[in-house]
Amino acid sequence: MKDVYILAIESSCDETSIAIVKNGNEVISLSTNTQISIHQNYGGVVPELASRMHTENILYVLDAALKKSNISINDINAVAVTYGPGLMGSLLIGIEAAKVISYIYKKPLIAVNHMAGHIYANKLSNGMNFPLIALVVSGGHTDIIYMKEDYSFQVLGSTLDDAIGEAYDKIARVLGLKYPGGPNIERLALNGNPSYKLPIPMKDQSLNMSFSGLKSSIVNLVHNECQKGKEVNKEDLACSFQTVAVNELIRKLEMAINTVDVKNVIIAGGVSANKYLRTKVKELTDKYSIKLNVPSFEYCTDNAAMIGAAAYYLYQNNIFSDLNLNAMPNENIY
Amino acid sequence: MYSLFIDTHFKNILIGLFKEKKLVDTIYKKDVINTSEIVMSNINEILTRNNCDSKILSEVVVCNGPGSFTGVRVGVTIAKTFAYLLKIPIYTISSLELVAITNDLKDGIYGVKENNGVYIEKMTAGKFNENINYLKNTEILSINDKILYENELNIENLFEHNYLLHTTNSFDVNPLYVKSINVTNK
Repeated sequence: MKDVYILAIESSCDETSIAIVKNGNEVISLSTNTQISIHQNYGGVVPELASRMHTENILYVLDAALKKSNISINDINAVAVTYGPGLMGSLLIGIEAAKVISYIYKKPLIAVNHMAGHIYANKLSNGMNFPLIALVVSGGHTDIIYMKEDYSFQVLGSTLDDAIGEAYDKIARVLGLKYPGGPNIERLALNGNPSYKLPIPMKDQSLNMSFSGLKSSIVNLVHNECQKGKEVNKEDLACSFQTVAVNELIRKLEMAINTVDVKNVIIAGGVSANKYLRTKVKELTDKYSIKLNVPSFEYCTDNAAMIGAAAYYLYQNNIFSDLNLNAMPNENIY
Repeated sequence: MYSLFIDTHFKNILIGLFKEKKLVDTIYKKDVINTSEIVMSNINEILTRNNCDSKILSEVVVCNGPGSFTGVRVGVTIAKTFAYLLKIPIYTISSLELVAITNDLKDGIYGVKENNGVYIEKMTAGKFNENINYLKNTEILSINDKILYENELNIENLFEHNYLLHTTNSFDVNPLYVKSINVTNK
């Protein structure tokens, strides 16, 4: 079979990223401009600022991705772009650039869902063996998905309120840590003990999850201690939070494993970079002798390579978009 | 030689095609809601109906604002990507300069509306004072009748005012925002 090269663009939040991916599983080149240091000043992503930065950076990122690849655009088979979910103004920059490339070089345009991208990031490392369970954990999502085959997403359980990554970020803010909060909490937790008594999120038997109660209890705890003139032990609190939150994920994942027959468990999304989570999921899948696949760290956070990986299936099935493509900030695949 | 003109700075979208600097065709869309959905398809439309392939373009001119932030970004991103891929020059012109050209560059205060206010700039002796101000709708009332607003833009004479077309490396073409972002440091 002929090799398929897809040029992919991702600009849904605060990373401008462009990649060239071969056959949906091999990254030929990847160029990413992250705006983290800029948004850090505000404690989170400022949408208008993110859109401005994407506009400034887009050609630099495109140029770098093309130069690294030694491939001419003429030799590319399709142009893929994230159409949502994400920030409207940010998504549009990637979409318009993708349309122009697709138009000038007469290559099909492929609209890729950002969350499908996170899941398919696994194709870039260990692959995906169906049927599988995908644990999707990010700043906007906490879902347990059953995938019978490619692009079949059945939600088994989901967070009813905050996403786990959102809880990490908010707790990081209360503890005075920089954005993005996840990696900083994880670092603190390494030196702490789970000594704080925190509420267990949801004691029910559904596969749904909840993290806002846990988050609020920590916010209140920090404020109460502060009013008494006392300081919390940040390491211990970070460790306590992470232990409770991850245990909850694992408990629900185990229930899911007992509900459906799968060959493979995969994790996806920004929080899948969390080493404590990875260790705990590994313990669980070992217990059930199920193969665990995790994306490489570089493809956990937002990047265009995963969009190229997710686009491959759409390319093979001739699922193309056109010049009227618009951003869909709230579009979910499942 | 063909030149492509793109203006998406607010609700009315104007796309123009020039041959040897003479305007040969335009597409004008009023009160557009989803700019992103229509701009590229109408660029395709204007090129197709004039039997042009995009690769025939020799330059691109884009209005880089001020106006709607998102609207301007859509036009600017399209224009700079065209310029980069086709390796052709890109020129920017401000929305206020376009209104001035439409009004034969007569002296006065020019205005470009946006949802909550107006961007204004003063022209004396055929030259802008290069100081764009943003006034909220409530602040503009007293001088409203003195402002020359855009109606339908006329770009027939665009290339007769070469000095209003600003050229930059395509990588560094960015919108004119005028307004800064309001966020509090935490």
